[in-house]
Amino acid sequence: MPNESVDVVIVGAGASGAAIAWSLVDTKMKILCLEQGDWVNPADYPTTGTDWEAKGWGDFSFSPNTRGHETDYPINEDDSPINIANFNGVGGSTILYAAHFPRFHPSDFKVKSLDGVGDDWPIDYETLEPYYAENDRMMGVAALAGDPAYPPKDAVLPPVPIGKLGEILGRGLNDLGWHWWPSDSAIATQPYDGRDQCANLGPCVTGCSQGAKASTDITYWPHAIRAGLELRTRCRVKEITHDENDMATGVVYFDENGDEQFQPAEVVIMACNGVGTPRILLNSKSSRFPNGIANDSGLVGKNLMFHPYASIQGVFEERLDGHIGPGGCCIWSQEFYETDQSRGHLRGYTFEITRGRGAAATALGGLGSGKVPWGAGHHQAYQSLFDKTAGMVAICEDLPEEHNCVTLDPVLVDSDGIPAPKINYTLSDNSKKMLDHAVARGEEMLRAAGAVDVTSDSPLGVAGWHLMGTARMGTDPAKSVVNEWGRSHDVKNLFVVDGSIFVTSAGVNPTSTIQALSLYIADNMKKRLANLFD
Amino acid sequence: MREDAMPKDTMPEDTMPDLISTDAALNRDASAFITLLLGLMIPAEGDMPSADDPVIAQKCLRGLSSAGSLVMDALGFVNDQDVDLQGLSQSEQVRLIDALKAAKPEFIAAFQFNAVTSYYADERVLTVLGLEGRAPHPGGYKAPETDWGLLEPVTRRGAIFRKVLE
Ligand SMILES: Cc1cc2nc3c(=O)[nH]c(=O)nc-3n(C[C@H](O)[C@H](O)[C@H](O)COP(=O)(O)OP(=O)(O)OC[C@H]3O[C@@H](n4cnc5c(N)ncnc54)[C@H](O)[C@@H]3O)c2cc1C
Repeated sequence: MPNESVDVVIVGAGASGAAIAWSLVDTKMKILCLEQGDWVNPADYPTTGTDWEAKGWGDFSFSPNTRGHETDYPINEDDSPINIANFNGVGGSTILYAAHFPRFHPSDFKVKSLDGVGDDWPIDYETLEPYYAENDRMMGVAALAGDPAYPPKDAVLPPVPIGKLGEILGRGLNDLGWHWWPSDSAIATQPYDGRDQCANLGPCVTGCSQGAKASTDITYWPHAIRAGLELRTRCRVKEITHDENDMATGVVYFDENGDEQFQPAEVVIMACNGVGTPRILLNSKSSRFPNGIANDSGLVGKNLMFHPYASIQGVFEERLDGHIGPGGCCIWSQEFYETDQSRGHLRGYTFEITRGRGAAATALGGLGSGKVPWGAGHHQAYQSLFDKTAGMVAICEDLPEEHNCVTLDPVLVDSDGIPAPKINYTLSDNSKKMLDHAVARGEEMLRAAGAVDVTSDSPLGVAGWHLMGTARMGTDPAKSVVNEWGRSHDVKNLFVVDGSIFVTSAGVNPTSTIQALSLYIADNMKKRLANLFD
Repeated sequence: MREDAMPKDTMPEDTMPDLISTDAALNRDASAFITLLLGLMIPAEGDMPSADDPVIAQKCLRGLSSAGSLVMDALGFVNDQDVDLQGLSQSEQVRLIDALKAAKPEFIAAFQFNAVTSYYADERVLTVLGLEGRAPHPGGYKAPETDWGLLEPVTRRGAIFRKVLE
């Protein structure tokens, strides 16, 4: 039996898909979300066992190529120094994210005018501000109001405790006169919207067993489903179809049995992230769109941005209680965020101070660096590192470059035979200089805080967790894929709402902005329902 | 630790076949070899058990069951040296292990990963390390109150974000 037509089909149930689903549901339209993965049972998350570290490197690895689940798709990363990290299931990559939740700065929307690089966004901070605030309420964001690195914004929940480690690094930052603030964190620090209060388990990036972290399977989705939306799991979309008027007619997908299905829809919304969305757009070829649907500009898949990361870690002489508190959310420093030409690079970065390493990670790191030997001396050397290592990652702004791209791999396919994405990426000179700057400043900061030994890893190869720019937004159809409210220039009932639409990347984690954009696009659709396709 | 460097064959315990009963990949010799290496890598000291403790070793062996060919290859390398690893003096053992590390890095990566994730997940070890010898969930941990007065110099300095003029 053919599938019944729906008003809206959303592809992907991650951060952005959940937000737009929830916002559109009050239109009373018939909305269906197709998601290739499953619901995750929190009881399966690694922190329910002492072997959580091994599981976090196996079944719950953030590398889809390592996990290799049937619900994952493989990614060819041979030509990228940075590898893709994601999760495929209800909640998308928020299942594994650290929930570090900064907003963009006002200057991030005006990169070209201010610094002569990248492009300006067609919207600004003020436009997004109410959607940031709405998203903060829906996700339950913990923060301390008054951060001087931002225009004023409200805090929904009290800030995460920064612990002994955060206080030691905060004092170091004070000694240098540098900015720091408790990180905005999508973590319930009090019971909130049916979620438990954070019990400081530590490793949020293997999934939150107690449901305090705001992954969208426990924030937006329950609300959207209760309001009548249908979410169908184990449905992997292969392509978007269209008619002779260049209007999308629906999507072709493989159901849980691997059978091909057609889902007719009046509106198609892509929310598969900065790699998954261009992959499906590029795979939707026809005589009208030989290079993939919505790709008259030729920019689908181009301008891929990660945030190049540097990790800088210091060894201290005292124990830091680094296992207590959300692993990726402690304090941040945006001392080097805004452009200062004297630094030798344009744009800037955020320091995200992270908590301690697990017991096994400390040993593996020590064995790898030669600091922890086999045999006699193992325990002593180990004890000098365990719970005494603290540091940060620098999240560097990546600028759009067309040669950094997602294409379709000519050989590699997923379990349904859909071509896998291939990543081509090189670090720009500006990124290299920024990373070097961050490593030097990070070391200075750790030493000021009392570290006796500092090491760094730059660029961090595993850190392809922020996926942006591959279906960029803009007012000029020749220079962008979607317009200033997320609608394809070429196919007027096709929308993109995930990180693909970013024009530039800023120097902060992107999810708060991805979701604010998704809510903003939903609002624009709702305001224009009568003439949405004009 | 680069997570992409993790060997693909180090899957979580509950997805593993039960090595001892069902998987012939690690025979008696291979198991004895791995157990010996565990004791050499992490010996007992104070309250810390040795990694060749039966519970820890069994976990590690189970983890390595899908890397049977790597283990047999490493064992073959040691056997080719025509020495009894156990009978060697400490310095000779160190020399042989160094040679093994240089010749069989893939095996060493898989072995170290399984040894360390088995040892440092053992409740006795975690207890000695001061981690209460349990999983993080459901107990969680109590965090101390934060002294927000620390932020005084930051707030005193005032706004630092770049103003955008229309
Ligand atoms: C380890 C890790 C740590 C992170 N930490 C942070 C952090 O601290 N702060 C932050 O802001 N961001 C963080 N991120 C990034 C954050 O998770 C993403 O920015 C965010 O989830 C992206 O939202 P999205 O909607 O674009 O895509 P996703 O959340 O990735 O969702 C995409 C969904 O689409 C589905 N899908 C893809 N293709 C198809 C198809 N063909 N058919 C059907 N379904 C499909 C996928 O299964 C997935 O569920 C982290 C990510 C990882 C992996």
